[in-house]
Amino acid sequence: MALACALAACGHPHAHSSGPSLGPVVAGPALDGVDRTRDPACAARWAAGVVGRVVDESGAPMQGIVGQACVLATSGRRVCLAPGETSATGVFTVVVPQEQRCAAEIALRVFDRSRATATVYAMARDPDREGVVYATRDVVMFALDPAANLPAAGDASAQRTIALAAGIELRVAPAALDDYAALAARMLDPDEAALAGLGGGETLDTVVALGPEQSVRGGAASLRIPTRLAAGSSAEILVLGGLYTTRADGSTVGEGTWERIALAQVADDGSVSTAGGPLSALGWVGVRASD
Amino acid sequence: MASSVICVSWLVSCLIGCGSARARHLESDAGAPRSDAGRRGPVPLDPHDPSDGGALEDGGGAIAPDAYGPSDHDAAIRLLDDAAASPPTGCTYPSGATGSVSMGQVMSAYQWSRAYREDGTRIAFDLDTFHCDAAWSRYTAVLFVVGTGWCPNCPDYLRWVASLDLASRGTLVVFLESQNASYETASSEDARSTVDRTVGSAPGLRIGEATNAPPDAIGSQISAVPSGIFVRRSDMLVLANEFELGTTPPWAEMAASPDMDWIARLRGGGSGARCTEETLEPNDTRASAAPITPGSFAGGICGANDDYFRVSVAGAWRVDLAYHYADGDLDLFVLDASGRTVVSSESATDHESVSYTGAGIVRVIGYAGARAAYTLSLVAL
Repeated sequence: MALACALAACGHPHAHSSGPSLGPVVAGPALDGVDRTRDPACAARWAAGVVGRVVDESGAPMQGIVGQACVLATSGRRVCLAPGETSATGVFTVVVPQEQRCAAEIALRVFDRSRATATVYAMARDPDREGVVYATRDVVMFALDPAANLPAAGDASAQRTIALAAGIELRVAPAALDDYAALAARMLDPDEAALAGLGGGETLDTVVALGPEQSVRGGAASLRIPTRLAAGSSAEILVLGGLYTTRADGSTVGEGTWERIALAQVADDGSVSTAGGPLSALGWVGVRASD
Repeated sequence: MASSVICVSWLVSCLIGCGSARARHLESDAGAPRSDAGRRGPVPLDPHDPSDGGALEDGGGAIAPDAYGPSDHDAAIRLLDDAAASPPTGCTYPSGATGSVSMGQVMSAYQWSRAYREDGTRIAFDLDTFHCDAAWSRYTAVLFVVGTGWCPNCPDYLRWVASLDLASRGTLVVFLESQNASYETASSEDARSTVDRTVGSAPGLRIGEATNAPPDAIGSQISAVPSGIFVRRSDMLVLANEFELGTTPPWAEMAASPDMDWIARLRGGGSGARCTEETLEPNDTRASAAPITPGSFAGGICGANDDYFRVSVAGAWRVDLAYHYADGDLDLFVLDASGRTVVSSESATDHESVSYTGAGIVRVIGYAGARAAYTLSLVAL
């Protein structure tokens, strides 16, 4: 029952599916006066600005959240742009430098400095409108739940099992993390509409957000995640590319894209473990049944 | 005092960051970044600062020679405890710096009170010393790799730069972190943590822009990261600014040949041949025309002035002018004794040629202010 409740995010103090109607997103003044004339030589999308709105789980706009855009220009150069910060209406605006406007791909990162919510990554796919790319939908910041049982750091090099929220367990040594004391997690309903933009809408059976977002030195951590999959079946475990997610060879997982890190067998209790693959970062983890 | 370039950069920065984390730097950057006119002021460095996590070099222990930086203890201490030091006699930092890191500008003599080597030791680093002090003479250039802790694609870029092994080609790599993962101006400790995690002990300094004066003076001009800025040590000229170009310059090639005219090559697809005036200068007026005899020599229209040559061949002769049109459009004229143009060659190619008989003045100009190196040949016919 606890699992089902967690999967549906029910009972969470911030969980609401319907919030206030905020109307259309209007770009902030940062784009006023910016020449957004399309370069006719650009055959790809022409992005002079990126605009998004950030809300909490009740649908209320969040102020002071950092909105960041990374652009893969058609020149092949991938850069991240100076971020914008949300206003009282929850809107952030990023101006794209002239040299990067002919864009093949744009990914968003939305970050809460308080680290009380999960950092969100999403691909911006909306068509251009007067040179402005709008986030697919309002970006929802999901509050994280503190660890249910966080052992004292003690011997920081010693691995230990930490009981996070909703039955999620993390095995790690504090020395492998930058912020052990604030460990938190949240299990989310994969059907939650707000997650649709996450990673381009991969179909997942379980979605877990971990925080604070940070790297795991040496990939020396493993997760045990409760699922509703059948015991004995196979499951793929995926991570969402973010600031710290790397593959075993050290290369970076594409920002805002899901990538498989392990193939696991569902245990008798319905859980899966990432022990079969390195967990390079604490961020978003997904599980889905393997065909 | 800030240049218009700075203003434009700040406009971009402000447009992006009004009300944002970056916007708060506006105040501190409103004053012009240090120019060479300011020389070295006191450096707020306390090498005994216990808050510093790095090993200090002034503890009396031997300093092992490393891949870069001063190789002797005295020089290292001078860099570390630099506040009262004066620049070496006879060396003056190039003039004209405005604080801009745009291509073609003299890089301001920025100084960072805390910089970490790859072995974790800490020094103070400033461009005045880098330019003037023989301890840095093994380097012909410095590449600033500007990144942030919030940039997911920066690690791959850092690893790629590290793989180029630029130190072995005479270029000092400075991994310059502008902001940390929380979008705050990065300390050098942030930089060390981020860079070490990414490239391990790859050669290069790790510096956070919080220790610059003013903070984030370089990073604030770069609104897309990662971006590299390549500066030649001999004249501290910014030869390449990746953010400005929108493409990644050939860092390894630049490190191997920093004396080429990279600005022309990167901006306009020029040859990269460095423009150097001929040894016959000054010959910028008809009255000061330099006498030449049959043969060839190298020269250049490198500034606003024309070049004049006096030909005294009694019979017929020809002058050929070879240059790279992509670098700049040069034209060739012959003037008679009264200063009247009697023949000219004004093509849009890599070559001009004129023939004449008797004494005359050869004039080489850069069309509409163009600049380019050339080879001039006089042939008696």
